[in-house]
Amino acid sequence: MNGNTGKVINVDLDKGSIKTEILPEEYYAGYIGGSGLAAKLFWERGNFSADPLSSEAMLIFMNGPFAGLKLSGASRNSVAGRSPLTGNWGDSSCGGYFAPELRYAGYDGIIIKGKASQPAMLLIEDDKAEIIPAMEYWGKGTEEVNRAIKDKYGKNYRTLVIGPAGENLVKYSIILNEGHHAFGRAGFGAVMGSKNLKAIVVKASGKNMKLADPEKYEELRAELNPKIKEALASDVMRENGTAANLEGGVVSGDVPIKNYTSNFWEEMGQELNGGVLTEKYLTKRRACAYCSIACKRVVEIKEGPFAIPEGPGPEYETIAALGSLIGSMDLAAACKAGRLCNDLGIDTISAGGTIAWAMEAFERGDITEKDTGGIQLLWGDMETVIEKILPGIAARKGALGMLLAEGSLAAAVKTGKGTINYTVQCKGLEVPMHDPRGGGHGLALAYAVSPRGACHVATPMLFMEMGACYYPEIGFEYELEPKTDEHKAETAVIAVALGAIENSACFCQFADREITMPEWVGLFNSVAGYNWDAQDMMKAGTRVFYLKRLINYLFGRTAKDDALTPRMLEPARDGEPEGVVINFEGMKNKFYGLMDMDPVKGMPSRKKLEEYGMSAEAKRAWQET
Amino acid sequence: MKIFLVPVGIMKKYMKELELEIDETLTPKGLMEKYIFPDKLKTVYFVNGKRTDPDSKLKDGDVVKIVSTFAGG
Repeated sequence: MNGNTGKVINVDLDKGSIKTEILPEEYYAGYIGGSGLAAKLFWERGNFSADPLSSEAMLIFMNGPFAGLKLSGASRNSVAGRSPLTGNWGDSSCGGYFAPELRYAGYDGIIIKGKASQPAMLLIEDDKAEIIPAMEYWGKGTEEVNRAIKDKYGKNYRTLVIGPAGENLVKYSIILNEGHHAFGRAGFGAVMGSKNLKAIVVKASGKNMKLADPEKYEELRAELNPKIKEALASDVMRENGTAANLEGGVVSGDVPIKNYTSNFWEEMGQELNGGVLTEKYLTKRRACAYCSIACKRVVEIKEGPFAIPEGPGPEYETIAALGSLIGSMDLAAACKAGRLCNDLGIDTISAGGTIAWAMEAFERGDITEKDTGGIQLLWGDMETVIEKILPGIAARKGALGMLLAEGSLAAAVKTGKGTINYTVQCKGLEVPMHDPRGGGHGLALAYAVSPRGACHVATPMLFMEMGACYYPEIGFEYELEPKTDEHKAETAVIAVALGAIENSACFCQFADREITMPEWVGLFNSVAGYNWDAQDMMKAGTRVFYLKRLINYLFGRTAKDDALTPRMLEPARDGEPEGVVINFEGMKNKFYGLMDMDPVKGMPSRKKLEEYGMSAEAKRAWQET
Repeated sequence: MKIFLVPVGIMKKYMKELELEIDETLTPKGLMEKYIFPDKLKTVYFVNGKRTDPDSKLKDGDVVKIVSTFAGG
């Protein structure tokens, strides 16, 4: 096989067995790799009735075809399966250094089932893979475990580690690579925890790779790497990180404040901006494997209540989720809270979203000190967030820890009193830090129809609305006005395919927005030899989107779940988008029509699935209705 | 007439806050081209706090904020 290795590792933790397997080549051409290929494997082999935290649950790590090929942004990895947070399809992408090492060891992915009888670690060294005891790491934070593994095996052994939150089955637990890069969303750290799997470690000795047209690929790589590096947006992120323009987002109303109750807080924008992080706390810039953008931050806070030693620094999402969203404009506190979330193994977006909901509930009197074990939940009280709330969640300690460890939707359902109306989530996944009322109305549609729930990286809609990328070859060559519904459904049709391609190829959106359609096609053809044109590639992307819709349907998700909560759809209360209402239903109905999706079941028609070579999938999904 | 030009976020890298005497025919887009960074960055304009068409007319005393649409994730 060209491009991909074609090989995956099957791990059965019940039996303690490890087997390698060659996957059918048509799986790759049909579903690309990454989350798309994982969806195909789940569709074929997953147990749809299994609890995501049960032994039967399937956990899939999957590379894309460009992993390790020394191309900026192209060496990410996907984890996928049934999300314990949402109960439906989930996937999460991670940069860092795991994907290339796995590929160099000879594998595209790892499929894990079962549960180890005691805490264990999966160690892969080229063609040797083994399950080994990991009792000494259990109960410890990701930072300590990552360091201990590297001390024991070597610094070039690449690690995936869960923290105490994953062990305690906190529903939005993360998996952390190299102590810095996170599979952040949808709770797969808890899935690892439920399997007693503390870590996965990989080391390769060679870099053998077979490409369809190595010369053509090298030619493309030689053009693309400098283009990505020299792009203005890359320069901006290299200098000041992904929060470089947070202040601009505040002016346009994109940055959420106090559980999405406000769209403007000028002083906060000035305090949390990426330039301030650079000036006050940055010590080093870091990059994922082979990436020339280097948007990662290393920070140190030398003094004050939120002092932390030199180590991983926060990205935009973390700064906003553990800053403005919970009513704080203290950048040092956001750095410390983000560092703590990494160590405990918690997703900062879902943590921020869930805590923000709880703070509003406390303010309204819907939960009281009786429900929180005496802890007062006050906007901007970062000391309590850091000292009590986050550790309580990770340990599932006390009434508050138990309540918030389930995520905002479950917490609101348990609390009742209409508190669900001010959760900010879709399909149970907390909304990331871009408010569509200020950021762009198309993003509301993209959040709602995303198979995993509200997600800003499931599609490039955010970038398309802001005019950061155009693709005339596939009909996207028009300017969009972010704060209207005009052309948003048509754009979403393109965006869901592009997003599926990105997340299946495991490409970073910050890098791939510089890549043109002919270059995308050239990459697939030179690496994997598909002989695609742009339409073929887009068809593969749409096929991946459709398959995830079918998976969700078998989990019981229908059109009514493509919804946003009342908080997201009420008129913005202040700031630039004040009074603006999103025409959500109008965009959704149009999108459903354009995608030929059933308005009740929420899945594509049989006819449409057949057009995409999915007759067998159509038969199964429609028969089970 | 006099207007106030205010860069926001990453636009601060390319310009300083300015108080300008301008011709009344100059639009926000014209301001960007004349005084700021004329290349590649897609920008939007907020006049007195509200998003404004790049070709709209300005009036005396307007505060024009220049914001890049760049967003992190």
